Amino acid sequence: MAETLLMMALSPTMSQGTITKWKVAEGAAFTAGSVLCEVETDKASMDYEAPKGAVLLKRIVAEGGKAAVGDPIAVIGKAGEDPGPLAAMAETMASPSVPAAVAVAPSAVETAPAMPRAPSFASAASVPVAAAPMAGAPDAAAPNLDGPSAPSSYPPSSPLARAVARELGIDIRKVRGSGPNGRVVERDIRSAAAGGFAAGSAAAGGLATGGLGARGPAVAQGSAASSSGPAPDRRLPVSGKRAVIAKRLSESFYTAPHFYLKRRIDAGPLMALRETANAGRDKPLSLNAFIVKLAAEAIVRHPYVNSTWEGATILERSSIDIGLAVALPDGLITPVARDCARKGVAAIDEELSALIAKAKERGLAPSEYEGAGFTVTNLGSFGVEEFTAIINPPGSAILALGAALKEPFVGGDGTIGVRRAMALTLGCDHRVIDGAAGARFLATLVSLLEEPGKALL
Amino acid sequence: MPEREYDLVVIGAGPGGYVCAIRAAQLGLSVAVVEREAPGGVCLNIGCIPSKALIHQASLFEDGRAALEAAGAKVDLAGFDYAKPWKKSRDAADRLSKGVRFLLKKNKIEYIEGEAALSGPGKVKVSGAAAAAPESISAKAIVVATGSRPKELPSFPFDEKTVLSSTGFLLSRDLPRRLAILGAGAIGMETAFVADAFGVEVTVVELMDRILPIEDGESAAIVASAFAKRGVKLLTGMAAQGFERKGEGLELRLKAKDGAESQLVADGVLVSVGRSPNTKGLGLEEVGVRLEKGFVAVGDYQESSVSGIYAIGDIVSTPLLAHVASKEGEIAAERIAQVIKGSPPPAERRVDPLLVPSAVYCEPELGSFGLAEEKAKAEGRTVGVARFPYVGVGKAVATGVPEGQAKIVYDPRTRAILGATIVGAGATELVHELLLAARSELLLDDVADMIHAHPTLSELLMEGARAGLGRAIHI
Repeated sequence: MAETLLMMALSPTMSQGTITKWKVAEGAAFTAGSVLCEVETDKASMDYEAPKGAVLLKRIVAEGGKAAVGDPIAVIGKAGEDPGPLAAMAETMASPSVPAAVAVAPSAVETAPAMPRAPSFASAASVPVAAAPMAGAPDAAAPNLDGPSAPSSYPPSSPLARAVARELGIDIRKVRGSGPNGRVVERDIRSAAAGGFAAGSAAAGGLATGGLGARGPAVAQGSAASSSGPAPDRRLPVSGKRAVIAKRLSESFYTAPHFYLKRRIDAGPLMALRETANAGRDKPLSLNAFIVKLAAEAIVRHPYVNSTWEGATILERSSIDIGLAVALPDGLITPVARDCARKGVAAIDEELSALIAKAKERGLAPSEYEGAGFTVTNLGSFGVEEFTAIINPPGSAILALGAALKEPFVGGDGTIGVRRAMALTLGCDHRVIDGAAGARFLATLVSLLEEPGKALL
Repeated sequence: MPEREYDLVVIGAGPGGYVCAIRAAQLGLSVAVVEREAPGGVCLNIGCIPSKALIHQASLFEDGRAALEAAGAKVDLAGFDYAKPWKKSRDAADRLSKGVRFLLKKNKIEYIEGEAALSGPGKVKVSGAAAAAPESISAKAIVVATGSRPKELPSFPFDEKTVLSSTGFLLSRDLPRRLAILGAGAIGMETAFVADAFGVEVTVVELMDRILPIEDGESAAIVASAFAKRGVKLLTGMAAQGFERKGEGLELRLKAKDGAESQLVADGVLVSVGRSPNTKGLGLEEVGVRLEKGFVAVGDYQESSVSGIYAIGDIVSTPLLAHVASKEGEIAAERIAQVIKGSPPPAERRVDPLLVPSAVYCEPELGSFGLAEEKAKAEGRTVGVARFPYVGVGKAVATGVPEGQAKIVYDPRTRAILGATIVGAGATELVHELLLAARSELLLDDVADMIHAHPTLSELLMEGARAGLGRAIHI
């Protein structure tokens, strides 16, 4: 008998999800555990696995459409069954957020296989690119049963915009349109070109494309020259990921009473240690891995830092799980290195780089970014000297690192020298960590960072 | 009635003002319009509309006679009375003016007859209005749309009997035997066509080196040669310095660029050397509105230097065209509704001058927009130019209008359409296909590859685009 398939909560915080890609065509059979569709939610893109085997009779939510947890997304049953009555009923029940998303979900863009650029654009000069099947998509050859509302991976664009994009080497998929219905027009391409958001920069790595608040290509517009006056203001759709960032950080900022403690350290010994450790290694260990390890050692000495305010109780964690804030083109993510007290720097580095690579490629599973008891965030590579950060729940403290810059200092013997100094700002939740407690932890952390050998003691 | 309050008061009910008022009413604003003359402004009453009615009748008169004679019929023009086609032009104007009055009423817009002036921020005083009308209006926003009037030459003051403005010409029920026209812009050339078709001996005097100085030179030359062929004298590079009354007629003193002086005898003179904005006596400067060379200076959304006071149409320095005024009226109305009621903003902040169509309704017609070839070259820009003649279009030959051409200026690298000028039958309508293409950022390829019905004059555009791609068929 035909039945409706509901949107499941694919992660603990998920309240709704966007179906970015259907993996099973209407009329096709699937087995239990096979992937039915990809769902973008929270901070990740996840696979929706079939709870049992059946035939997909009808998709209720089209690609790009949203469904709240518990909403029907498809009708399944035996081959040849009529999905009609159930589908009709489901559609009237569906939450009002179902209409297809206006823009391509960022993660879908990130995971889309690279398009063979010149040939397909060149031959498509007078054919709407939107109609072209996405190269390399698994079911590109299957008949499109989604109807006209199914969004394509390409935004609508004018022929001139495509011609100029071709000329300037801009990947049109990464440009948001300012024309009617979000159509990409010439000025959007020129703005993107002027803003330096070229096709290659996303591939060069998320960290290079913007700050922690990275909003991707849309904000790269800015001061660009335009042939027809200033570009109009635009309203951009909020991706699932950005909505979660907004919700979690607002909650943290407005409920946890933050205070900040600042120290400057001599980063010379740490840099020297890293240099020694990296000598002869194929892949150098990142500075962040050393800092995460030494922060874990400081937490071992001050375990109250690794805790969570729960209202009636305070949870002190046994495992020291440290998150590292990473900027991706479509938003911030904090992969978590687990149990850092028991791991060496190399193991932590390996764990973090694997997670960052995965985050860039297709997003992390909730188990890979949730539950950090302490977080490290570093804007030194952007030239930021020092800054304050918002605590990443459920942690109660966050360490913000600035750039290691040369500065004059007065040595112990009264002479003036030059050192590589780094500014540390520790943000604490006062409900859990008092000022003096935070200061004690910071003092330990500073001494470990300045004399890393002490960590061995 | 002493005072009344509105969201918006519009001063002037021309093609800028009435469109602005209707758009604002559609968006839920309470709107009043103050007009001192007739609804519809210059355009409907003493401009575009009656002149097009006359031009159409002039064409029928001329082509009808030619067609009958070509078919061997003998045509007797005895009994021709210009007052009759003139009456038709007045009927058209009156009918459309009433139509505007109806549209304002339908949209529940208060129409106030009287003379308005700004008396402070958000305050308008009305004088000369009917007793029931308010003397003073307060409004959250004011749109000034007072239009323009024919520009006068000091040596040719209008008496509207022998020295005519376009208004005087359109309101005159008879034609002079010999007409001198000063200024070979659109109004001068259109009037020259009407007068010539109805048998007036016409001489056009133009200060610049060529007629239609703001249009593409090559295209203007095609119009010039058609006029010369029909016997209209075109004196370019020539200044009219003054005149004397001699008996029944006038003797104009002309001076050529090389200093040579000559005389021109005529029974009437039309002065069509441009239009002046109506920005005086409105209290604009008194409330702080900044003027530049007599025009109101505006920024985005047509807002003047005083917040809440907007200016549209001929009183701002964008091209003095009815369709520009209407678009500016829409932009201002939508912006005001956005500010007052939070409705969505206008799609554009201002009119893009490169996407404004220009139309000259003489025969041959001329329709154009965007970048002209000379301008592009003067700016040192490399452009491609594609041409296609009417004679290569079946319908043009079959219907006896094989003169003229389409000329498309494009970017040779992207093949984007940058501008176009069409001279010939139906040009003022045809130009819009290319304008839509340019505005939508379509390329030559898109126009070239679109199937155009055969036989139509529109094939001219398809072939023009194909010519730019090196694959025109019928040439």
